[in-house]
Amino acid sequence: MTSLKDQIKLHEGLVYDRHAYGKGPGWDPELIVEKAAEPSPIEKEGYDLLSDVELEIFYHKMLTIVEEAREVWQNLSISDIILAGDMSTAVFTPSGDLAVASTGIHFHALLNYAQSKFILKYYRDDPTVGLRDGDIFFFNNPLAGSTHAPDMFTAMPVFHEGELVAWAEVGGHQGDCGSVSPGGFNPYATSRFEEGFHMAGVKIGENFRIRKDMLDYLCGSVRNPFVFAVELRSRVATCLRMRDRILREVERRGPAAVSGGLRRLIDLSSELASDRLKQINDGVYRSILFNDTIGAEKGLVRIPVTVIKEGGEMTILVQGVSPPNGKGPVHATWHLVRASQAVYLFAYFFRGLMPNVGLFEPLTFLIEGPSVANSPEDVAHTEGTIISAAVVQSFHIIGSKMLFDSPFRENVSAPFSRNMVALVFYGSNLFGYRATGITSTGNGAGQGARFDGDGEHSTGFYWASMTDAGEVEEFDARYPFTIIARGLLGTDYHGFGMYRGGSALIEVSMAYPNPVVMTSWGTSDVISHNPGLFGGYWGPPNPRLTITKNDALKLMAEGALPELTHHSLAAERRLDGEYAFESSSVNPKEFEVGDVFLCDTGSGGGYGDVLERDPEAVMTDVREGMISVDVASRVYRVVYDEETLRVDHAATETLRSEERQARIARGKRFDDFIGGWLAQKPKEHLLTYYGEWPDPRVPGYDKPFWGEHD
Amino acid sequence: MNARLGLDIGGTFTDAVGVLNGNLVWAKAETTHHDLKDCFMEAAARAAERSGTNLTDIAQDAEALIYSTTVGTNTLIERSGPKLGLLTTMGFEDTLKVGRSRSWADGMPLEVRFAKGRARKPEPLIPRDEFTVSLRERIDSRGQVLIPLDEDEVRSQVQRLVDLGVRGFVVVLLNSFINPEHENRVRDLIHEEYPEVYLGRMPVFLSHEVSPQMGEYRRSLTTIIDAYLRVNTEEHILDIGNDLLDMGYHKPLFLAKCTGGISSVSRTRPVHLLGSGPVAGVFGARALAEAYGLRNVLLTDMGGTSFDAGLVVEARDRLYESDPVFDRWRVQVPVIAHWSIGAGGGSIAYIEDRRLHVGPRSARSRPGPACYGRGGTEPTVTDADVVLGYIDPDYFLGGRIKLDAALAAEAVRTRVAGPLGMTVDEAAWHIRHQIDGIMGQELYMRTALNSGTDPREFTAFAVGGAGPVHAAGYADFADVRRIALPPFAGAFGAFGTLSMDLVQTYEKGRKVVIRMPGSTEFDPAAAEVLNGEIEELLVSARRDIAEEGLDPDSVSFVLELQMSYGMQRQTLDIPHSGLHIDGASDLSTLFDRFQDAYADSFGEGSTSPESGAEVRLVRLNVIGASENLTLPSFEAAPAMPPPTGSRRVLWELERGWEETPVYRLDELGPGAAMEGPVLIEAEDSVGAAPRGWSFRLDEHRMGWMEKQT
Repeated sequence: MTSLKDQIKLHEGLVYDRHAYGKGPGWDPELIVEKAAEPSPIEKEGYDLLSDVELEIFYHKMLTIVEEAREVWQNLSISDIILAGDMSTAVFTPSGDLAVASTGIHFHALLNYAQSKFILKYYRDDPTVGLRDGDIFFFNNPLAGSTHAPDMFTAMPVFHEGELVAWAEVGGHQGDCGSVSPGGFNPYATSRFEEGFHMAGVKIGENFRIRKDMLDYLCGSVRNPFVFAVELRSRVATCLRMRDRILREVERRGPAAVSGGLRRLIDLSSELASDRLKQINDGVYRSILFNDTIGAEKGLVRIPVTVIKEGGEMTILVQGVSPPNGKGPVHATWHLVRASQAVYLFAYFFRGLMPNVGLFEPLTFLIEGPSVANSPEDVAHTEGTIISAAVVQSFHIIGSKMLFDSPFRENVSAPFSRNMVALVFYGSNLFGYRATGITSTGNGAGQGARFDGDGEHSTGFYWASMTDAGEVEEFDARYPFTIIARGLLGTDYHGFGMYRGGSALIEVSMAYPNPVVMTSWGTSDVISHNPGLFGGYWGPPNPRLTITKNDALKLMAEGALPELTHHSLAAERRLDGEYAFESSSVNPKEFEVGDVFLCDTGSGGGYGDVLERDPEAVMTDVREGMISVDVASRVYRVVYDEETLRVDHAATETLRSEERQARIARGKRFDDFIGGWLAQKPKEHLLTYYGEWPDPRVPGYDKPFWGEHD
Repeated sequence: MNARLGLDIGGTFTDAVGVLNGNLVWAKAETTHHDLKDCFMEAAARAAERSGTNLTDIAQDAEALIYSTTVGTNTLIERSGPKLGLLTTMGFEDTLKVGRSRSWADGMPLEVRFAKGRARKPEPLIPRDEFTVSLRERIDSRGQVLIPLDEDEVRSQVQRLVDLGVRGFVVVLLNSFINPEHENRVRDLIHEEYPEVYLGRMPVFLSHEVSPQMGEYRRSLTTIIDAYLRVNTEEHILDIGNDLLDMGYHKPLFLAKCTGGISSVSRTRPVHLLGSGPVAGVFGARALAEAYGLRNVLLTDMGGTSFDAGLVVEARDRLYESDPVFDRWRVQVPVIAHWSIGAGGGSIAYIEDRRLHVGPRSARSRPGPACYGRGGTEPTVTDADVVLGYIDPDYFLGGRIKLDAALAAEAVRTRVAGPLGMTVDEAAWHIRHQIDGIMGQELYMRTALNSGTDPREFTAFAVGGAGPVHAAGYADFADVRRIALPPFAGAFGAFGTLSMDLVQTYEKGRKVVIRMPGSTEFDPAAAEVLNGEIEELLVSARRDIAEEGLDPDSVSFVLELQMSYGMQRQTLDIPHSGLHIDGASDLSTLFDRFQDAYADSFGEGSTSPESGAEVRLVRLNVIGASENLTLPSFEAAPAMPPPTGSRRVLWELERGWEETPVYRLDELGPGAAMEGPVLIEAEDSVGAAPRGWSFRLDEHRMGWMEKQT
């Protein structure tokens, strides 16, 4: 019998299991696509030195090392983004694979291996570079394995008596990378050469110290040299701390036991991941998302995902993707799409297993390229995470469907919100510091509803395991603008369902006391990336809103400022001024004193049918301002006393029963539905970068992404 | 009689330690959760009896009674505080609910942080929707009024809360720590509406008074918790105070605080009582360290459900926790650094995904370990200790609880040994080894983070019921080579209260740039700003000293500045030698000290002098030193007594079972010394010295275990 996986049909002339670009100066994609490397001799020597139980203690030790390092880095840092938790600390095997990662951005840790492997293959024996104790390497080049230029990685080899026993590495987002746009995100970039500096695995230090010339070069390439210098030092201090701790463990257990133990952790994760997969129903699962921009310009692109689960393995097929456009920065790389799946795999699908590269071993990734998901060499990349996250969101929906009928139902939920609008700023704060960066409002996304309850409000940053949204008084003192409202300020602003999605943290900022350059970075201005699950509504899209030339300052002085909620501003327009609902990705501009900027990171989707939500919970939502009375009546179909908000349960049941009958009456046969559906098409100007309609790669709808269509 | 009596309430037992009739005595009573006064009185009475007198006599003659209470912790856990109303700045009503987006992980074990998909936030102590009201006002970070306070709105919002039946008001307005004008006016307006002369006047808690520091989330929580604990704490303390008064005790009842000192009831904030027990233990360790000339010590306390630790570094008086969390709440309190993980005798061993896990889930005292025979079927660390021979089932807690070794073995067999394909002995050994590894490695990490150095030069004091039997195990993983076993290990928190000085802490948050980035010059104007803040703190301190009736010459003032590099969030506490900052030269000295401390903590290469520097907070500690405790000395025993007996213990898997001598601590005299492996049984614990470790008892009956190899 042919396996499900063998039935996959790939388009000829496109690549799937590798990058759509080849080897170049400082990068070799071959090194990035392969699974965990062949163990080095020392890893093999020490592989069996620790018993299974001793390995648990060893893992705990390694975890304390990366967690200590995470705290050290955050203690040393002055970058808002690192302080907020957009970072990772990790220990890698001598052959360069992720073995132990701290809480933080897990997919950063899954990208860091690229430079280690490149160094090992190309620089270690090169007399002009070499690899020695005390070396410090740095990279941020997306082609060489980074996310995008603002994500920067630092690696330090750990030697014991001349032998490489591990790597200590850190990765995190920096406030600036010398791009045309402050903050690094240039929505108008048409090639990577407009996105700041790119370094691929460069030795920036020796003998445990950063070279002065390299420090000057890097700091001279960005708008925030003082922050950058402190950051780079703190990265090195963090790597050194990990190195010291690893070497102490080497003293205790011996170098081979440590190196072999790191490798065993990867293999154990792999085995346990495979075990879990075997307990989940085999099948083919699909989901699809679209993006609404290619950068600053509107344009529809398509990102479908098919997952083939069979036995202890799983194939993630990203096929039928829109082609690369070369007109904007929304291009992901093969390795970014793969690494991004850690967001879902580590916190949900494989929750409880050791988060390392072993969890990826039973997985095969087939990512169509050249496409916006597997881009060619010279396109712009900084917003490629939009595409890779869209794959994650679809994978999340698919995973939840897979896990529902499994022992792991507790991990079933609608996806965490990815509808980001992060505020980017540039200016001098009240204390005279020149500040460039991104606010931590991005760390206030709503959780998707779960199979057993509502989604939690404002729970963190999409990409990280745990982050910090900070406190406004500190921002008042740090930022060159003032936040005038911040909270769960949305009504009808989450996915409805039997369980509702969690609400976003919404921030209303004002250019005050001085004019300030601001822009934003994000996605989902028109089309949401926060699907609901099993009938739950989607979390809404969230374009940014600016209100310029307004009367806010005057009203403030008079003590007459209205309540600033999403609804009061976006719907009721309770400030006089010029309202602009804009793409989250446009070029920075200077805002005048008093101008208002509203942004958030989106709310989670709902779970299950709205008609099954407890009517009392609906009334609680009304009382808490989470939903309007209109939604309570028309969506949830609850009958209640308008004054007391008491539910009339009998009337509610009747109304809901009527709605169920009406749904049946509205229903169509599948063929009728498809006929009508295929006749629809978006407006032509939105399809400029889409490719063929409806399948970007082939004319005609019925060409399957996978196997035979029936 | 110069009697001093310290009492410490724990989850299971209440301990009393006293210097009574010239002797150091200690006693225990079971904690009576329904009314903590009962166990307070019972433990105190037992201690009095042990010194050959009674509590009434002690009360009449005592110099000081010092109390470390958990009444606040109980109030928080049981959510039994009063209904409070919160008034806050419009637009920021959700601050508690948002919880910095991280409150779901605050106070939770590490593994929770990896599970964002199952994140759940704690319910705020003041519900958002009914009891939180907003005020249209705003002050900016320079203290300038952006939106004036609307007094009519204040009155109507207060009325709304009163109609809802609140019993107190908490007022947290943005940037009030810089400009308290609006908060003060809100209080005035409430008092105008509800004058003091009438019944039912409700307390008003202003955030800038409770915690004058930047950070509205933490300041809100600090103020709310302080308000929330007040009623229960006050009632309980006054209840005890009245009883003591009836007995003839006319001195103040002193309370131990997590800030590292004691103070009288009238000068104590309820929020400072949280976590006072473990902090008292740290001060007990510091006192002993001082007596023995040790500069770096760890206090390790392994009980039934948790492993608590704290440290003293370079004999420094106080090392604060950065951003402490009480229960699930992140607060602004200068808490003496200590921490806790879910590891103890009751920690449950289980298999998940083919892997052995031990803790943090605990069997607690009900049903307790399987060997208790109270229905527990899951194996715990205590069960493993019984199976391995460390604990004598007939002499657990001095024989007060008889253990069933067969039940322990059965639990290990069915839940761990069977699934892992091991023998019961192997499984039990791994359970013990793993919990020792977790505790030791956590100890290592926390020590490194708090002190900047690894623990090799530290001595660990091992206390708590399970501490001495596991100390050598976890010390090994923590790189600690010397362990002290105090004779009153089971009542160490109470002992610690006797070692605490009279301390009152005054703080003011204020961000002052003393040197701009890129500059090498210090701003003399910054010194003047700081001096202004210091002077205000001194005024408060002197007022309190006068009101307490203390002799100003009997107390000392210690000034600390919380400093950071420019724009950095991490701060270090830097002591200043005087009470005045003398222009740029003093700022320069402070900066040098800061840089040294920074390099000590994070490494030489981590300093960034070009980043400039800021002072973030000024702290004034007023200290009235307590009397030094003198440990009683005992005559050396003429000869080493023979072991009480011996039993088989599985120390190392490779060596198998070994017949091990067992000594009773109370039969050993000073000078007793032996080489491991050996067990030393006491009434409430068992000291276990493995091969390669020695044990000796000194003239103060302090046990010392030292690693020889």
